[in-house]
Amino acid sequence: MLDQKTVPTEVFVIPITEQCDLLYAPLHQFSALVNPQATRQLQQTISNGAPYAEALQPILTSLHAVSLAPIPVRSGPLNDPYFLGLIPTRGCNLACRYCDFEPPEKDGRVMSLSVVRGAIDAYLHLLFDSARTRGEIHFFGGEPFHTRQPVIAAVEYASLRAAELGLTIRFEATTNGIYDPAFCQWIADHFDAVVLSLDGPADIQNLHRPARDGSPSSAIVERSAAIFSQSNLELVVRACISGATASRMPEIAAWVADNFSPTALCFEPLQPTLGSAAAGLLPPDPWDFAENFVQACRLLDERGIEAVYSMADISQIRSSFCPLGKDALIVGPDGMISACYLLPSAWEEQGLDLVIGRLAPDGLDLDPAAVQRVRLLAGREKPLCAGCLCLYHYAGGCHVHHSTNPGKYDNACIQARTITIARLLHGLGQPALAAAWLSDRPRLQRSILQPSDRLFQQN
Amino acid sequence: MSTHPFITLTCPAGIHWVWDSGQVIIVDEGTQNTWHLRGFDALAWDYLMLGTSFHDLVTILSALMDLPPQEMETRLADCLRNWQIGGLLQQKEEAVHG
Repeated sequence: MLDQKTVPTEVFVIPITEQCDLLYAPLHQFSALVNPQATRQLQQTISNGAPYAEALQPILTSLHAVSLAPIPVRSGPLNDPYFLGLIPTRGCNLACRYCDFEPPEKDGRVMSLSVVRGAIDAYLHLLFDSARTRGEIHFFGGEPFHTRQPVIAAVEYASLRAAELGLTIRFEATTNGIYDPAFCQWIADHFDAVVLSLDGPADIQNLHRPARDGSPSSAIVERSAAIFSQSNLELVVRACISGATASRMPEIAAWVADNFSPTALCFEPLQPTLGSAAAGLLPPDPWDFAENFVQACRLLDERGIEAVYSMADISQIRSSFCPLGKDALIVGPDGMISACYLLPSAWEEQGLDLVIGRLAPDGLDLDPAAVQRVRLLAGREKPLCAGCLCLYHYAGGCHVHHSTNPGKYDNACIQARTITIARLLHGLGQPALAAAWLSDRPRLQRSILQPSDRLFQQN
Repeated sequence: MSTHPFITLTCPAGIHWVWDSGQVIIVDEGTQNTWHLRGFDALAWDYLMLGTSFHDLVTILSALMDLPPQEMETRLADCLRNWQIGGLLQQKEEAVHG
């Protein structure tokens, strides 16, 4: 007998073929393929206790088991930070055609050593006072290594102080790979993880990511990738995909796997900017992106490399796609502390204020009201996502760049939904079904564009 | 005319080192002697191997460690002297006239 008091509500169903629905309950970490008759029977059984076929018992048992809880909105003092983010500079030594960051001559601020020291002292003491033994320091930009002094100082000083406090610090950076071999080796020796932007073979890399003087960047970045590949750090290659390169995603995957040793290859669709439009670079067709991602994923899987599309990570439940809402402390060159590593102008354009405090001489000067405002922003209602099976994974995506107001699924949604469903089908041992579904565009679109995936519509 | 002697310090042949888990491990290939540098010593060594000048190192570490430059200069000079005595570093002397 099923307990009618524990009615599972977060259950999603997506029609895959005429004979087959995908059932997905993310909070129960459960997925299954059922026929449409079974879907109807499950609806009736769960909602009003109607009799059910014995074959559905395992599914019903799973759906009525204790589930994971959605991630609650944080409250109270900020004493358990997600990580310390340092933005040493917004400057960069490349002129990537799709970048929307200001050139360094417009914002040449560089983090001072006093800000470096203050940020690290404050973060380490926060960890120590909270009885934590591990922390993380992430570096963002611009290009964080464009000015080396603050990064070197941060890593050396944090290592020294952490050891004194009995803490272990993990260092991670998102970087363009433009440095000499000796400094590249220093990064390889001192960092635990590097996200290296490398869009593909030379013709793609040099078209997308030239140096400021227009010269090619591929040789230097490939040299850095090779050095990182031979080291112990975790290398994630991140490739930006445009409309022209979506069909080459399997080729890019093979090239990366053949030449380097990353733990993961992350594909990110190009986000349109004034610069990308001027360069004639367009975002990829979302359906092409999704289909080629799945092909690349299969190839990378054979080579032991994880294929990542950050919007379709089904390995964890989350309420926020990014650090926002997780109490990350992201310190800018001037000591301002915010919840987001994007340019302040980007979030201000959307009417958002993501500043949560400043670095003061005696430590962190955080505004409790601002901290809570940002936490609530991450946990707000997202009408666009309410009926979507990606609600607990993509979680609405970027709070700055992706609107979750009521409306139609956009390109980001299409990509996230398609890749998530394909991943679930692969997880059920159905790669052939996934491939057939992906190649049948009308059927694919019927699955992806249905207004709600919920087995039970919300009131 | 005055002469300002600039001293360049380098690792002798046979001295190899690695950074591992927050410490510097140095090995003399010839004698098989090893050194483990931790904390401030490891930090100073790492900076020097990146080519940081003594003057810049005093400035950087004074700011980071919140010590007066003169005190930092003395501390670093002691480090370098000890490393030279221990055979980890050797000096080349160059004279610059200015």
